[in-house]
Amino acid sequence: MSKYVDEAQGVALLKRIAAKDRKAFEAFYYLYAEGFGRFLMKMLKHQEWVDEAVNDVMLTVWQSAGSYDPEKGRLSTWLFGIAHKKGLKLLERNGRYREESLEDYPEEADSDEDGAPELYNTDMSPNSQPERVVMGWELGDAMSWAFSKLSADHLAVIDLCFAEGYSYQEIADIVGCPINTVKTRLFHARKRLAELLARKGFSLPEQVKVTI
Amino acid sequence: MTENKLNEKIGTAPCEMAGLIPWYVNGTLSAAEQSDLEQHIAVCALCQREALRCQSLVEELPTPQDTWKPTPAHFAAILANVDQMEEEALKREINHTKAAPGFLRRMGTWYSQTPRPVRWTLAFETFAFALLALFLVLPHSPIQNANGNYETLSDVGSPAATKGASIRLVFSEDMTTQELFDLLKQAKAQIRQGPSEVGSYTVEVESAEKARSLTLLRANPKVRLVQLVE
Ligand SMILES: [Zn+2]
Repeated sequence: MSKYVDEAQGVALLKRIAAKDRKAFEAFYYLYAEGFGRFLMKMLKHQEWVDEAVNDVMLTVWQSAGSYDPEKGRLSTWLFGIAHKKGLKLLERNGRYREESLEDYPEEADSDEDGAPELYNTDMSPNSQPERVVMGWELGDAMSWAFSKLSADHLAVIDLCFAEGYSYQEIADIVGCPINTVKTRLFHARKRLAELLARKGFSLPEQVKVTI
Repeated sequence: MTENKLNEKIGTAPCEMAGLIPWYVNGTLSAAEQSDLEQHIAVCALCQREALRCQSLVEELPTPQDTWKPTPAHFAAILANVDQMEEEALKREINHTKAAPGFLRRMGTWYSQTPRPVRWTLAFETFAFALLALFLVLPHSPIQNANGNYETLSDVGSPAATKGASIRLVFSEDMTTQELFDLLKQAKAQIRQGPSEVGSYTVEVESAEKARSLTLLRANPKVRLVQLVE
């Protein structure tokens, strides 16, 4: 979203929303909801949950438009932060939050003390034999499957960094945790992704495709 | 975890810079970080490999099968919720207004702490605003309450209610807002209630001013009824 929406236009609309301008609220919805709705769709995976979460985000925007401070960060970051919170609330309510508990990753739990993630203790492409290779699958199929298996926390940091293009500071603001935790969480998310891909006999190439 | 513990555990020196690689790849590092990392990557094989992994992750990101799109129906549902929320907020505000002496007292304290020139400006602005509000609200847009009666800004239950004399008034239809406003000002009368279903207003005057106010009101040709309410 941050890449596609004119920030100044959004800020101007938000000012009018703070004055309870419904036309501005409608314009804001059509300008921003698709972006954070896309993020929520990946997180929640159910249309009706996204409907509800987007509704909740928009109600917060209506109530708190006046509290947004451009000095403290981009509008899209503020909005994704609200969306992330609403999404987690819905997952918790539906018993879907942290299906894969952080206890599976004790290193992540105590990561706040140290900025350097344990990057080299595990090979990203494990040598272990795949548990089940699905005939006819390509890397894309394995990626889709692996993404569907990631926890909400891991999915969020991967998505925010690689798909939405947020800085580490912005991701820390959105998910509400220290920068070091963001760095370590992203490392573990990628490690988990590599493990899942390996289960199906795939790994991410270590060279970049060259398109001629 | 300390660096020593980390080294014991993994038997390799961690690369301090590696944690930044994902943001090097998504292009959001500061110019200084970017430049430092570029120099480092040139000499660190581990970070080179890490950068390639991140780049191929970006290239292989799955395209979501289900997308979510905003729709007019969804927005209409949001607006309905906004209406409900506003209604609840209004109810809370009304309850809060009933407990307004505390608020007024706080305003008084704040006002008394304001520098004198600012205070005069504020007093003037408040007065001007009150006049404007009265002018706008009185003739055109009385607010209807749940019982179907009309209320004005100075309706019963207002914390400003005093124990003066109440007078019921009916004005002729051709009376303008300005005339009404001037008359009430001259008679030192404040609207307490109205217009009722039959178009009457109840105003309040100070007890000491009662006789003078009654004379003034009765003398005005556009006042059709002046009745003291006991
Ligand atoms: Zn390095």
